[in-house]
Amino acid sequence: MMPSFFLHRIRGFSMAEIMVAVFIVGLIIGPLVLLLNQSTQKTNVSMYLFLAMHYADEIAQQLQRMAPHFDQILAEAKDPTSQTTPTLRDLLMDGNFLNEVKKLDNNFTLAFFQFGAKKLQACLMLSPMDGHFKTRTLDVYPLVSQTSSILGQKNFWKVNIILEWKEIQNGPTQSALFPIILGNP
Amino acid sequence: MNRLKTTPELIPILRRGFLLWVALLVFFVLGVFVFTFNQLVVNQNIRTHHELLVQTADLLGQSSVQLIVNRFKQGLEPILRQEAPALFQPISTTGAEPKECDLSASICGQFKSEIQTFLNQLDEVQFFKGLFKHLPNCTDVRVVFRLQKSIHPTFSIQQTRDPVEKKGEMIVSCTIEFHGISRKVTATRHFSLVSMVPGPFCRFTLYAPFSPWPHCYTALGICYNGEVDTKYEHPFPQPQSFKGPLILNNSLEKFDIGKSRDDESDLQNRGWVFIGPSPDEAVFLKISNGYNSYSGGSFHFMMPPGTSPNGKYKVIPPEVIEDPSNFNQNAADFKPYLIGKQMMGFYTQVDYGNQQLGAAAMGLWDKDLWPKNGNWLSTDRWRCACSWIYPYGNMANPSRTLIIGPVLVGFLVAYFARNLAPEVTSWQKGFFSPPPPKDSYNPEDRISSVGDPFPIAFRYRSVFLQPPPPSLAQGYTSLERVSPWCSISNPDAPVPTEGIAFNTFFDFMRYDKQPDDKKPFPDYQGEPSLASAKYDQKPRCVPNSILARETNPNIPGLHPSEDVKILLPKSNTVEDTNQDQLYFHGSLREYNFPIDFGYAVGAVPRVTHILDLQMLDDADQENDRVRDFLFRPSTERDECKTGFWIPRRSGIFYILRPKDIKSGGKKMVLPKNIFLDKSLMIVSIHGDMLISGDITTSLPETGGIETPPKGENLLSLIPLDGDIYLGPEAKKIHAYLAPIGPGREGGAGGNRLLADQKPFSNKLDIFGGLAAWEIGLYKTAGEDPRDCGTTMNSFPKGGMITYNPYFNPSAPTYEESRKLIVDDLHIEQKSEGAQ
Repeated sequence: MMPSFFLHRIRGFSMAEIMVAVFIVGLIIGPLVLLLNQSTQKTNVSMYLFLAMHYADEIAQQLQRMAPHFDQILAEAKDPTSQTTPTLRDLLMDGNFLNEVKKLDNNFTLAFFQFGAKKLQACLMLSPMDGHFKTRTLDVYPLVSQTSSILGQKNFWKVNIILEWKEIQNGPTQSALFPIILGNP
Repeated sequence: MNRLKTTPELIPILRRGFLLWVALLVFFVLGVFVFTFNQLVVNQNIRTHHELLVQTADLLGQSSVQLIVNRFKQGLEPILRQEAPALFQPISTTGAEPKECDLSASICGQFKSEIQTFLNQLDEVQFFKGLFKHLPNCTDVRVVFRLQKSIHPTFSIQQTRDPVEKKGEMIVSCTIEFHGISRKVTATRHFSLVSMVPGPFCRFTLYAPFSPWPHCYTALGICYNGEVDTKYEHPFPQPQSFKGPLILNNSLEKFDIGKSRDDESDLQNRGWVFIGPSPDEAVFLKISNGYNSYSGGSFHFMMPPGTSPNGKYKVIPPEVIEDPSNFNQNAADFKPYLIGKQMMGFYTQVDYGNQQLGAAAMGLWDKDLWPKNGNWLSTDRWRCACSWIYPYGNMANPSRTLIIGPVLVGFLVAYFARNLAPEVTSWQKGFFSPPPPKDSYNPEDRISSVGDPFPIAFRYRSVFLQPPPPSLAQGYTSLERVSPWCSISNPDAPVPTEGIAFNTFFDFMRYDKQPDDKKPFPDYQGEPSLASAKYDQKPRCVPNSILARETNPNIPGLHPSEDVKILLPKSNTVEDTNQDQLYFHGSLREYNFPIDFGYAVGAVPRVTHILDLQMLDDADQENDRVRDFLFRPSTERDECKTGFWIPRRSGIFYILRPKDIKSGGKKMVLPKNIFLDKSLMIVSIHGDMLISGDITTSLPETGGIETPPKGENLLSLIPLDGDIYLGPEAKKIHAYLAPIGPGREGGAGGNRLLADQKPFSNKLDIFGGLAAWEIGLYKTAGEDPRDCGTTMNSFPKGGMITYNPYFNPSAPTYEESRKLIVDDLHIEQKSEGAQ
C-alpha cells in the first residue's frame, strides 16, 4: 500500500518547469549532438586514413621488393618486333594494370602487370578495400639524378600511391598520397 | 518520530527545481563525455596526421635504404676498397669479438646528397605551398659492416684460403625528416665478401691433373715447315686426324717494346700450366718443328725465310765459340770453323722426299738407339708426331710460362760443324748426332756425316784445335757447353730420365723481340753466346736454371706437383704473415675441389646463393629456372644492347640438381649468348653442364672491330661431378671452365671438357682458362673407364686458350676478384624515431 503522504502531498511538475527543462535540454543537446557528430566524422577520417596507409604500404613494400627485378619484367613486356623497351612508367601506368589495381572486389586481387594487351607474369597482391574507397592508383614520374650519381647510372622514378575515399555517399572525396622512390637499370 | 513526521513537509521544498538539476547534471556529465570524446578524436586526428607524416617519412626512408642496398648489390667494390679498407682486411684468427667497419662519411654524404636531390622533386607530398613549403629532408645516411666471421679461419693443407673472405651483416640506415618528424629506417642484411676465383687451379691457363700415359698429348702431325699435316692419322686410341694444336696464350700482354722486364713479376702475372703426371710419372710434350709464317707453325724451331743461303733449309745459326783458352786459334792448322747444333722439332712430313716417315726418315734418331735392330715401319710414324698442346703460344704470339708436372719437352738435336772458308757454303754440313759419350771422345775421330751429299768430314781435332791431352777434355766440355741438352727419342727409355725439363728449355723466352723485325725468336745472335760468361750472368727466373746447365743436371727445372705453394700478392690489405700470404699449399695432383668447396662435408661456406632444383623432374623447367635465376635479358640500355643474357647479380651460385641425374644424363643448359657485365661462379652438383652459345665480355663487332675482352668480369663454370659440353654454337667462351671432378681413386675416368656434337666443328676459343681432370688421349680405348671420349677427341681442330689474368690469385689484380655479395632480403628492417 502506498504511503499516505504520497497520496495526499505529491504534486506534478509545473508546465513552466518542464518548459524550462526542455529549453535547457535543447540548448545543451544541440551543440553536444553537433560535437558528437563532428567527432564521429573525425573518427572516420582517422579510420580511413589508417586504412589508406595500410593499402599504400602494401603496394609500396611489394614494389620496393620488386625493384631489382623490374628489368626482367620490362624485358618480358617488350614487344619482340619493336626496338624499344617500355619504361617503368609505361608499365606502372598501363591502363589495364591500373584497372586491376583499382579493383574494388571483396576478395584479394592479383593485379598482373600488363603492357598493352600483354599480360605479364609478375603481379601485385592487393587486399580488398573498404567500401568507402573509390580509387587506388599509381602516378609515376621520372626523377632527375645527380650528374655523377653515386647510386649508379639508373633510371629513378617517383611513384605516388594515391587512394581516394568518401566517408558518406554524397560527401566530398578524401584522398591521401604516399610517395616512394624506385630505381631500375 | 518527530523527524519522521516532518519529512513529508520537506518534499515540496526538495522537489522544487529537482528535474532541472537532474537535467543539468545529466547534461553536464554528457557534456563532459562528449567533450572528452571530442578531445580524444582531435588527439587521434593529430596522431593520425603524424602517422601520415611518419608513414611518408618511413616509405621514403625505406626507398632510400633500398636504393643504397641495391647500389651495393650492383658492385661498389672499387669505392669500398678506398672508403672502407677494414672490410678488406683479414679478420682476426684469434676468435676475438666481431669487428665493425663504417663506410666513410664522404661516401655516406654522397648518398645523402643524391637522396636529397630526389626528395626535392617530391612536390606532391607538400601540405603547404609557397612560404610554408616543406619537403622531406634526408638528414643522415650511415652504412656499417659488422664483420662476424672469416670463411677460412685457419689454414689447412690442400685447402684454398683467402684470409679476406668473410661473412657479416651490413647495416644501412637513413634518416628522413618531414614536418618536424624525424624517422630513421634501418635495414640489416647478410653479406659475404668472397673472391670470384674458385681455387688454386685458376692459377693455370691449363690445369689437367691426370695424364693417361706419357705420350697422351702426342697426336699432331706437322709438316717440316710447321703447318699441320692433315694427312697424318694418329693411331691412339683409335685412328683420328688432328687438324690443329691447342695453343695456350698465357697472358694478354704482347711483346713489351722497349721496356725492361722484371722476370719474377713477369712470370708471376702469367698463367702457368699444370699437366699432371702419368702413371709413369712424367709426360712428354714433343715440340713441333716449323718456321712458317706468323700465323702458323711453332715459333721456336725456325729461321725466317731467306736467311739460309739456299733458302731451303732453315736452321738455327751455329754458336760461335768464344773460348780462346780451349780453342787455340793461333795454331798453325787453325781453320775458321764453327761448331753448332740444329735443334729440330718433330714432324711427320717433309717438303721433299719421303712423306711417310717424317723426322725419323731424316736420320735424326741414332741408329743405335732406335729403331733397335729393325727397320723403320710406317706404323712408327706416330713417334714423329708432336704435342697437340702448345703451352708456349705460337709464332704469332710466343707466350712464356711455367709448367708444373713433371713435364719434359722432347726435341731433336743434330750437331754440325761449319767451315767458314769461302769454299764451304752449305749450312747442312757435317751432321753428327747425338754427341759422343765422353768416354769415347777421340779427337782423332772423324765426324760422321749424315745424309748425302756431305763431302766434308772433319776431325774433332781440326775443329777444336786443342793441344794434346789432358786438355782434350776441355774440348769436350766446350762441345757440351755449345749443346748442353738433348732429348733423345728413345722409346724404351724410362721417363723422366729422358727429355728436358720444359721450364729449363723455355727459360730463355724473354721479350726482347721487336714486333716488326723478322729475326728469329729468340734472338740467339743478339744474346750472349752460350759459351760466354755473360750468359751465366743473365737473370733467369726458373729455379735451378743455372744448375741445369751444368754437366750432370739430373733433370733440373722440373716442377713436381706434390708440394706447391701459391701465394697471394703482397698488398696493404693482406697482413704480411706466412699464413695469410698462402693461398694454397699442397699437392696439385691430389687437390680435390669438391672437398675444398665443402661439398663432401655438407657445408659450402663460400656459397652466396643456393638454387634447389631437386624436386623438379622436367629438364626444360630446370633450365628455365636456372636461366631466370642467374640471368636476365639485356635491353638497349645495357652496354651490349639487346639479344644477350646478362647476369642478374654477382655471387657464388650453388645449383642442386635432382639427385638421380648422373654424368651422361640430362645436361643443365646455360642460355645462348651470355654477356658478362659482372662476375659470378656457378657450381652445380649432379650431372653435366652444356654451354649452348657464346659467353663473352666484349661487345659485338661494330664495323668489323671487336672490343677487347673485359677480364675483370669473371665467370667460372664448375660441375662438381659432371662434364662441361660445348654446343655447336658455343664458339667464344669468356669463362674459366672447370670440370674438375676426379676419376675413381684419383685416377682415370674423371671429368672433361667435351663437344656436344662430336667432333666439334669449330676451334676452341676460351678466354679464361681450362681445368679439366683429364684431356689427353688413352693409348687404348679399354683403358678409359668412360666411353664418352676425351677432350682431345672432341676438339680435333684445337684452338686457343687465352689466360685471363684476373683469375690469377698471385697477381696484383686478384683483389679485384673479391666481391661484396649482399643478400636479396633484409634480415630486419625497422623504423624508429630519430633525433
